[in-house]
Amino acid sequence: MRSARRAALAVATLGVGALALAVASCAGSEVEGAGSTNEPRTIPAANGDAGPDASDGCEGDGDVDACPSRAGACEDEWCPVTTPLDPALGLASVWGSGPSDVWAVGAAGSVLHWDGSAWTAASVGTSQSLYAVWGTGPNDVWIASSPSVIFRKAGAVDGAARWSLAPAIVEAPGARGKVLRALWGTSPSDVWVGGDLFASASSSTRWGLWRSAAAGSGAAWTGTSPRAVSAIWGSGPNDVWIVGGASGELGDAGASSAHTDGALTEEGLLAWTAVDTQSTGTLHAVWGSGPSDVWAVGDFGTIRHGGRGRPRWIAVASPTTKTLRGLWGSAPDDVWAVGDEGTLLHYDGVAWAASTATFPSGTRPRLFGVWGSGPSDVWAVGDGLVLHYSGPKARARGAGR
Amino acid sequence: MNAKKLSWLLLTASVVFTSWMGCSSERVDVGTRLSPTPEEDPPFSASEDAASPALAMCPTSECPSDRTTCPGNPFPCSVDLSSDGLNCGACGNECPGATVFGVLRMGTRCVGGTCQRECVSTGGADYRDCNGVVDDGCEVDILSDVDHCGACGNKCPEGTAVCIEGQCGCPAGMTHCGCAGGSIGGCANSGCTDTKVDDNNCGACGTRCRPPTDAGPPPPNTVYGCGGGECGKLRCQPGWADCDGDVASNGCEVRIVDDPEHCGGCGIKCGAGQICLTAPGGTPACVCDPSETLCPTSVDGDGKVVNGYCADLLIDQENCGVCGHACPGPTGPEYHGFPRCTKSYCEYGCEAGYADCDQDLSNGCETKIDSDPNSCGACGHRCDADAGQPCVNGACRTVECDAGPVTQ
Repeated sequence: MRSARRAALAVATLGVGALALAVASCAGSEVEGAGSTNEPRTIPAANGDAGPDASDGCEGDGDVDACPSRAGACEDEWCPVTTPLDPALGLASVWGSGPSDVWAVGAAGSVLHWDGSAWTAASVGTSQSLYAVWGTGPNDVWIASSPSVIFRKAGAVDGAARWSLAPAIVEAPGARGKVLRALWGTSPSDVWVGGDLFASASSSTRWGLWRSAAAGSGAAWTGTSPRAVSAIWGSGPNDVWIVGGASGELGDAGASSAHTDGALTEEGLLAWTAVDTQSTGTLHAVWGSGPSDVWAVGDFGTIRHGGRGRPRWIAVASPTTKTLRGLWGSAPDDVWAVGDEGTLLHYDGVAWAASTATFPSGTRPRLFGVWGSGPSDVWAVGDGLVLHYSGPKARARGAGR
Repeated sequence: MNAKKLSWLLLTASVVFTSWMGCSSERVDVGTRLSPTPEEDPPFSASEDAASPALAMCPTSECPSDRTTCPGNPFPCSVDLSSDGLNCGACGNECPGATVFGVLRMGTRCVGGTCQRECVSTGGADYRDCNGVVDDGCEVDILSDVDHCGACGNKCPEGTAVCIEGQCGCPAGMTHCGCAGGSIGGCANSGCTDTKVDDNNCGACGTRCRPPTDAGPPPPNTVYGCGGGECGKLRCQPGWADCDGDVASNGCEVRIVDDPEHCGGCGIKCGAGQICLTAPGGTPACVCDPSETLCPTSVDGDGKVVNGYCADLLIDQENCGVCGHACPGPTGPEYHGFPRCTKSYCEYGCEAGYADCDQDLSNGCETKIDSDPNSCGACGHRCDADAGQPCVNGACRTVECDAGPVTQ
């Protein structure tokens, strides 16, 4: 009876043609909550859409017991790297000043540092989640969480970084519940931080982007754009792109994006030009190789391309429907995007394609951030893990990409 | 055997074969053989591992025996007459809800295909039908009724004045003095009080203490009042304690509402990293637990937290990642979903059987994937429309093909 039922289930799937993946699955009948039922169970890495590599069901599947463990060599393009991070915590952002100085930050005040040989845990002294890390060099690193919780590296003692609270945009508990999501800048004295909309203590205008006039001297932040900001990138102070949601809230219909060429309004404020995202989903990340080559990614696999002088983002074919959250590249023909359910995409100058990864526990973690020091040294961070790409591997799945 | 059926059998065989391969390291490229390539993710019903003799299964438009199709219901075979409150025992037979019965505090539920009565309680009460009479509905709140205290028929001993939270009489150490004083804000503790320290009921109900006329000014942070059941005793003012045993000279010298060395009482030390905080109307407590973060709601000029609350920023959807950062998204039964905080990141979760297929958060989890043949088990996973194939419990319904069992 049981065997008959098994076959029935298998054939039932054929009726709808959704089979290759299901058949190759090693799992038992892992009927999960309906909320996760559109989670593919068998694809090893990258996007959830079926591809020729989908036949190996022994990873990316919740039922690891059914599969021989893939301990040891990682033959995928992206491989996990051991860290002291509690796997229950997630990492939101990664940035470095070079191959042997990389920072990753995330939930519950988690901070990790890579010194070229190992990841070690650090602490900045908060239990809030940290959403963005960025800097201008090894001795000028910023970490952002909320309007009153922004950290700045203040030198080092015995090789360990010391962190101090940067001036608050609004002191706690003002702007309660607001989150900062993005950091960028042009120099140690010109740092930009973006996130939810909120007002400073002295004004009623709500801003989503703030700029340090002279933060090094402890001076205040100045509201710069009234848009909620998920990410910032620019080629310089006179060429800056921002992306985000209309209000910065999850699921808020309509993405928002704007560009400035550094010109000022009559009031002396930075002038922004709205850029049509051609997307209903929020854009979460932006990166460019130069003024005329800028990428943005976001909800439901949205990929957009733009550049100086373009009034709107151009829709680009995406190999995934999973939400993309991080973006970085080393050159116009070497760009990475990461996102939900272990999605890792690469752009080679022609098209975006899924990459492959080995995940530590057979899960499909959300990936939030990606950064590299060069084309063969790229880090991706997300739910409880750090992945590394160390360049092409002859034997790696997806190597023919 | 017609051609369609034959193809089913062939597919079945290949399925069994590849299933048999299990988790061997050999690559099995089933993706090209079993075209068309799926556009959607596989349905959750489809994964079974071991190889076995197979029955060929074909799509059907028939409902399983425990399901039926009711007019007005958008999906075929989606009604279970044994438990469907709108179609109980028969299509359209709706079980009356609590609103129908109004003050009777009674509703009905579809159980075994019939609408059966049940009591409905709200607002901290627990109403029961103790007399079995339908006409007066669920007439007794067993949490406060002295004749049915904690359970129907559980009568409190003679002379017991109150039933509190299903327990007869006042809590230990308390006496029932009633609410004759007409205290503002209602009758605290259901009229129970501690006559050892109650200035209005000192030693006995109704004995009021007055300031002694022959005493000098009280020591710091003390008052004259009821102590040990007698009036005229020196007592610490609320929020203060006498920790050095010397009332006469320095009175009650410790402020126990925010002193981490004496939090709520002498010598109650808070742990490392904790502070002593007293919520308005609350009692002093050492906060927060190690897994929680103190979220300030007000601070004084020095940045010291005057008031706040504790939250686990990893999972609290009202404080997700950052204090006060509430996860957005609609709530309410009609949305079949809920905002949630996972590892300090906001998400929107769906109830079992529902999914957010249109990726529009404003309408929540709008698709009933346990019975929608256009999204059966997963978004966009379509059942065979030509065959009128229904979606039952998230799987496209099949029955054994006419050809009968097939073995390898």
